[in-house]
Amino acid sequence: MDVLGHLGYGFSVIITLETLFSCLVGVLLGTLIGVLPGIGAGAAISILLPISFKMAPVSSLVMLTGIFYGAMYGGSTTSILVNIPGESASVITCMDGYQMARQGRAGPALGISAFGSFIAGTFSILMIMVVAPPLAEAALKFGYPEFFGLILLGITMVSYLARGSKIKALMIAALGMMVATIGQDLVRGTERFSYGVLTLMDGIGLVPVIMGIFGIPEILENIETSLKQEVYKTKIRGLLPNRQDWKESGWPIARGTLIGFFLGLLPGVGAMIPTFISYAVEKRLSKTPEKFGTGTIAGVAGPEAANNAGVGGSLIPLLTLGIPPTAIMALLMGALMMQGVQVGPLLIKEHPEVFWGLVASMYLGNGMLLLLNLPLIGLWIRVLTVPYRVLFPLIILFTIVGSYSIAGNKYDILIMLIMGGLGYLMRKFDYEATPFVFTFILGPMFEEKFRQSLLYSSGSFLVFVQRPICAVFVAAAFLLLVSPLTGMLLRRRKTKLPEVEKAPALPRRYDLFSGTVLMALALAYMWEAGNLGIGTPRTPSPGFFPFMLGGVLVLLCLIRMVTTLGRKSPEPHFDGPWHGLRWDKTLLILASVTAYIFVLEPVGYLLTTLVLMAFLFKGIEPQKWWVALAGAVLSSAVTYILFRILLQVQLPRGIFSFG
Amino acid sequence: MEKNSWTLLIIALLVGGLTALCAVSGQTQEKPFPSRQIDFVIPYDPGGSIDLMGRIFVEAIKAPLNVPVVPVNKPGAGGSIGTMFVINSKPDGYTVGACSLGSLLVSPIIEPKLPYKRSDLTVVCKTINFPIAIFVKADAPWKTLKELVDFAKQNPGKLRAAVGGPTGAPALLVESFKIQAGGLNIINIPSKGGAAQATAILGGHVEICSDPVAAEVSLLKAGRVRALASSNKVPGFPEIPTFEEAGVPGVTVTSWAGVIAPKGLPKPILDKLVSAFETASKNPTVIEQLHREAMNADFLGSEAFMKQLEKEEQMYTEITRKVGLIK
Repeated sequence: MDVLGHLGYGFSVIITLETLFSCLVGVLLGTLIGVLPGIGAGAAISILLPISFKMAPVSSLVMLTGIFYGAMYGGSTTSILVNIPGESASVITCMDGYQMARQGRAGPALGISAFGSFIAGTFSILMIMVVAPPLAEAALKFGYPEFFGLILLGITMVSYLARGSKIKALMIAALGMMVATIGQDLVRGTERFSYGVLTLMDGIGLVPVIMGIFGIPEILENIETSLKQEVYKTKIRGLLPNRQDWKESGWPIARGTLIGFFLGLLPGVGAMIPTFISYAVEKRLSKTPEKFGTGTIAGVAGPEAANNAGVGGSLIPLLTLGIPPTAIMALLMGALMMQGVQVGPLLIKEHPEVFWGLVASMYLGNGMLLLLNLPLIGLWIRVLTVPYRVLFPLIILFTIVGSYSIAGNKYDILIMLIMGGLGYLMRKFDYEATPFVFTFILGPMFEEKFRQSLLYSSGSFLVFVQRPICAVFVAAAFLLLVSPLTGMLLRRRKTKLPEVEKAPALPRRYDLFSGTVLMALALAYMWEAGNLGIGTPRTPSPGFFPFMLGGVLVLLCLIRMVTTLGRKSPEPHFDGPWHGLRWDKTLLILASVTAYIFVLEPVGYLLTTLVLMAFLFKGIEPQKWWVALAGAVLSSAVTYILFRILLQVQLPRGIFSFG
Repeated sequence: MEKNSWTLLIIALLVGGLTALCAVSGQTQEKPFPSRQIDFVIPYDPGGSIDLMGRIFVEAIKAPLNVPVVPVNKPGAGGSIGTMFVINSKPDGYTVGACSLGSLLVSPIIEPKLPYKRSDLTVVCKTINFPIAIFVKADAPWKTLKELVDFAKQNPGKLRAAVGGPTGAPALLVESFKIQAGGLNIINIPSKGGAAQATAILGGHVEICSDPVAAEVSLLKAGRVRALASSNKVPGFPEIPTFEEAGVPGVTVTSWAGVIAPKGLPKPILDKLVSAFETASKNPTVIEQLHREAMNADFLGSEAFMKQLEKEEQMYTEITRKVGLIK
């Protein structure tokens, strides 16, 4: 009863024009930020900062959290429509969501992610109301070793994220982790693998990586193949999930909600990691795991619920202890302090109107989002009917501005492009992107927690098995690793039939080639790691973890090459990854964007973009002159208004001191 | 179609070249400074302490300079990317930037591959300092810094400290404290990302943490943590002693921020900028806003600040060498 009373009080606080309006603005802005790839928290803060100097504390906090969970709703949209995660927590949604869209089922995919988000959001608000303080205290008990165990368990799930060869998934996962080791060493502060390049010194940013590795290859591949036909051949089937979809999504949503909520409680986990775990769990539990990655709705429903529940969960340590769930929220808290509101243990006591008003606003905001998103579905899927030759330059432009917007650094666009090239080659040689991104995210945390645990235990490895929670995680990880092996052995013994081997996608020589390249890379990486100093397992030096990692990749490459050479299945017919394709268009696109990067700052956004867009509209696919010019003018002007004026992204002004 | 794309590329190059020409020829006459918008480059993320400092001052120098001033965030590489951006700008006073202990002093000392030195830029002024404190959990047995030092001396290697990034001011503060208190053996546990110190201390995973006071204000007020000593006096918390007051003198690591400009900034322009920032730092609204973020206004003009920097450079070189961050 007490809770209901408080909630009623909360609603009485927010039923003012200003607060309702901030809630609406927050969720709208959040959706927009979520939909636009790359544009994320940075934009949110730069909009909020000047406003929050003037707004009432309740309103600015309401708006802020609205942005936060609104972005989770919006983030999935771009994943589903164009295979570029709008928000890092929507990476996994690309796997099945985009496949659904290609089969004409974008509507149900968008619908289930909206409903799933709503259900998960509502659940986590309930939990915030009822059990927030004890849960937050419990989450604090998660120390360095427990985190290590959790992440170890997460990493062992990487093979569930792959559709094809498990070994190749692990190889590319190792590469992802290697890329993530670029930057400052945690303990000694030594620079690793950055060679004095400033943009690399902080490590490579997540946003350019996911946009590059998912979005760019998709565009290039479509352009190379689809000379005449459209990418989305099939008719749009259904706007909303049907009964069968609901049946397949019910449990995934429930499980995703719980996974997201409880992992979200742990400071530093955020909303992204739960989505991967949820996906892996659904695939593991599914009776038809082979359907995952081909457009199964459970692969959208679970992770989408998980990311929204994760946001809810992460608000608990924020509101009860003042521990911000992400670095971004920490920055926003700093902004709120300017108004004299300290988000923390005293919030409920000192500012009950802020706390309960916020909770009430979350009900309201989630409702608004559902009402907003369902009608939007019809609009979004119309995006897919736009001819691809018109759509692709726009997608490229959004990824460019998205990368630039993070830090106003043109080299982030270059990194996105390089990652795009890497992702493109990965596709050509049949490596999947998701394992790469997964370990790119988890790798740094894995190393950090490992080394923190050893500092914590003064170099004793017993710490990983003595603490019960950690021991459970480590044991589970071990079982997960061993179970497929034993399963394979048992099956071998039972049946004389050879392991049902999927038809290899590529002839032997391609796998041998990519394996050799990766192995050479790994060896060079180990050499460099050796130069950084290796140390001992108890007192690792900056090179220790990279050295081990490189060793793992070398081992995986050897295994893959041996199994490939020993393969008895007939060679598939294959003319080569570039046969019959317009790869010259790929080169043109990559070259023109590279040129754009270096002209952008001296010449300015508007003019450079105009020229690039005119080129992309006209030079890659046949197009009428006036259509190309109109497209170029419109797209530069609209993005300028959207990003520079509405979202306050700092775009280069260039020579005209304008823009 | 193939032809079309090539003609387009040529057109693009022509347009680019022409506009570049315009750019060069356009800049001839100079009006007295300042006559147009000034960009204030903040080499950190929006919302962080340097950013907030920057934004507070940006608002306050608009009046004395009488032109628009716009904050531009260029975060990355511990402030180095934004600093390089300032260094590469024209020394005309229309591009200035924020600097911090990290970007101006510590990074050049510990990172040999860094593409800039302090002498590559003009030091305009110091604006603020922000206190960093050593915290223990509220139910910890140590009520004063002295008690903590005594315990650490009797139990070497037993205490663990969450310190944030390995080269950040909180980590260096702990190192300096360990040296000045007579060579204490306390294990530093570094971390990446925000709020790790608060989590570690509240969860009981470390005994001590070192953190900017701003990050712990809400926990401090709620009585969940106790500050044993701070690098500077903390606005609103007069009871928190400095290290000297707490009986460990010589801990002179303090975190500050200031303003830089490209090298070769003409003296008249420099003077105008310095006096604008000086006026701002005496503005009561500015002081009030800084206090809310647990910062102190701490103005030093160009020359005084340079002198302080030289002194501090020696100290940081010594500390970082002693703890093995440099050889």
